[in-house]
Amino acid sequence: MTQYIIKRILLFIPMLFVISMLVFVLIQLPPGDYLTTVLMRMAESGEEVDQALIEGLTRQYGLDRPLYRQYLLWISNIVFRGNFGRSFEWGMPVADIIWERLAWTVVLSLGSIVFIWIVSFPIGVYSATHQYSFFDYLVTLFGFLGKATPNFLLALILMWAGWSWFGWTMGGLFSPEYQREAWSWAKFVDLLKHLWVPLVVLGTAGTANLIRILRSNLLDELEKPYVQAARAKGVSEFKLIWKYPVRIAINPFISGIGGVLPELISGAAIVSIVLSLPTTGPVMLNALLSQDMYLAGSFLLMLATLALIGTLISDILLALLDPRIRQGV
Amino acid sequence: MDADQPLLEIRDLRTHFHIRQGTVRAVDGVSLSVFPGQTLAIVGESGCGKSITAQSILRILPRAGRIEHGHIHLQLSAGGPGRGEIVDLVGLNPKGSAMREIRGGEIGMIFQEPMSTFSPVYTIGHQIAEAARLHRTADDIEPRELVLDMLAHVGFAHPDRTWSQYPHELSGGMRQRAMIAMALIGRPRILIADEPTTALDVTTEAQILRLMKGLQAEFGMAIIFITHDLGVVARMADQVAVMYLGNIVEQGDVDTVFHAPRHPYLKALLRSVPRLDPAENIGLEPISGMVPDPFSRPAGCPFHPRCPEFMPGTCDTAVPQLLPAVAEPGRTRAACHLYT
Repeated sequence: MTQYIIKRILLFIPMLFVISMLVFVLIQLPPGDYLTTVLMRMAESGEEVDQALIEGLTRQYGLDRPLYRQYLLWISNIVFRGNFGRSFEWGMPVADIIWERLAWTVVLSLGSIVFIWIVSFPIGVYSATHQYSFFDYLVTLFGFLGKATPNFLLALILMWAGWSWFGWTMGGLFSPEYQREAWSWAKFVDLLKHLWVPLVVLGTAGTANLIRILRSNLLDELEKPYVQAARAKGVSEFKLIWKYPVRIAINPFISGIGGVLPELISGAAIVSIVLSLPTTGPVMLNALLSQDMYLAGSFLLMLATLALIGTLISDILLALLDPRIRQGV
Repeated sequence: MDADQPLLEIRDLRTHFHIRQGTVRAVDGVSLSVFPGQTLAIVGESGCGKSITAQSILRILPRAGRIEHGHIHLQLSAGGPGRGEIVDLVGLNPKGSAMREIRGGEIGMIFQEPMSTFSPVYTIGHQIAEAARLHRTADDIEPRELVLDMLAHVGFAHPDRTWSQYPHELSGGMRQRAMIAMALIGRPRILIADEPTTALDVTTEAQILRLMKGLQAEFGMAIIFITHDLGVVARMADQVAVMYLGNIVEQGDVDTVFHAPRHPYLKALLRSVPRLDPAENIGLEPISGMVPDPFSRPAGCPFHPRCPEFMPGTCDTAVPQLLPAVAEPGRTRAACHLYT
């Protein structure tokens, strides 16, 4: 087991290198670079474009060098100095921009995973063990609604409902008066007051999805001979359900972890813009649009790393859960 | 305990399935008796209701299935909490504690597919010990010791190792041995074996059958052996009940059933068995026609559309009774209008 984990972590290194190259190539693929964007904006607003300034900037940012030199500079700075480069647009080091946003993204991601699990686990099990009951139909209805409603629309509806019925402002993670405050208990409570909205918005589709998956998985497992065999030896029904079929049917809960992190980061961009959340989504979208390449590249690299970590965690948990995976059968 | 007194007596059991397409009368008026230490074989084609009969006894029917009628009288063991009383299993709550005491404690069951009757995520030892903890509470021995002892009984050379093995680490035959150990760990007086060797190759099958006979002699339990294989019946059974479409069509002791069959279905079934004996090698004779659609059972005798001795006006109108009403030596009881 330890060997397996070490092997997996060692595999990360070549994988990250390949990913970093792909990322760099991808963000360079669109025609032009950050300077062309700047020039275009300047031309649009009627400003004089100074040729000498452009050449100076080009040299300063190293944009005149060949692609592989740019890549090597970028990656060696990250690996050896922890320096992710400077953002053209923000005019400050990339590291200053991303860390806090990344932290909030991870908090929101983990929070919505927990939300998804807490809600979908008991409902899914009940729904399967009471198939075609009233509650099962009700949950199914809400499940389809939740899955079919786009996240950002749900966010808009919640914000509108909160404002027009209760006079709440739900954007952001803090009330304006706490925004610049140092951490305190009151600030934490304020955070919780705001946090539930993005968690519900981000978690609804996932919850609906997981309930459906758990329900159908469990329905399959309930018919398996090992369930009947356990029943035939006299195990009580409640214990039987949780110990035998549920144990197998929770696989998607675990394997879902790997996908949740990147999905939240890419899919949550629009929600984050609507709810003005300080997560990576909106900034990354902007960086990609304006070809702010070091910022966008660093974000993508971070996301890839998170995805790899998520997959590793889910693989380890799956191995713990199922001896057949553990022993490589 | 009186050996003439049946341990288990089923009277006119009717188990029906209510599903969207209609009602399936899977078991439709079955009466059977199981005597201490004896083996009763229930034979029939797929879908004849033999497994549903077994599941009705243990009250582990699928959700759509319901016992509509009949009694299943079980004599509880004198040493157990039931103190030798006779209970009607049909009257018990299938999820209640009384029924759970009986499952595994009074009646054990082994299943057809040794590949999937153990949960893949728990060790063999854990799953057998669970049954020991449920039913051997009176014993002052550690469940682990009981399990190791039982594993040795069913033929594991290294019970210690098997204890911590997972199901996928055992072969099909070994898994079926482990399954037998799990069914017997609660010391049931009846063992229901639902096609226990169907999924195994013939060599393994022979070993498992020998093992079951040996364990029966040792523990003295009765066996209800469900199979479609007449060869297995001949080896294992004392009494035989032949089922067709939810009914028993012929019943008797094993010698009489094989040497003096009366019901046309059983005769046809015996003719369809391949033989190695050259003198009798007259070719295989399949039973004509197909088992009818479960939603449209034929009126009268359920076998009449396929019967070579079909009598119009009689067989398609009245349902034949199992006769004679009381078993006579040297003669089977058959449900056929030829003998009424």
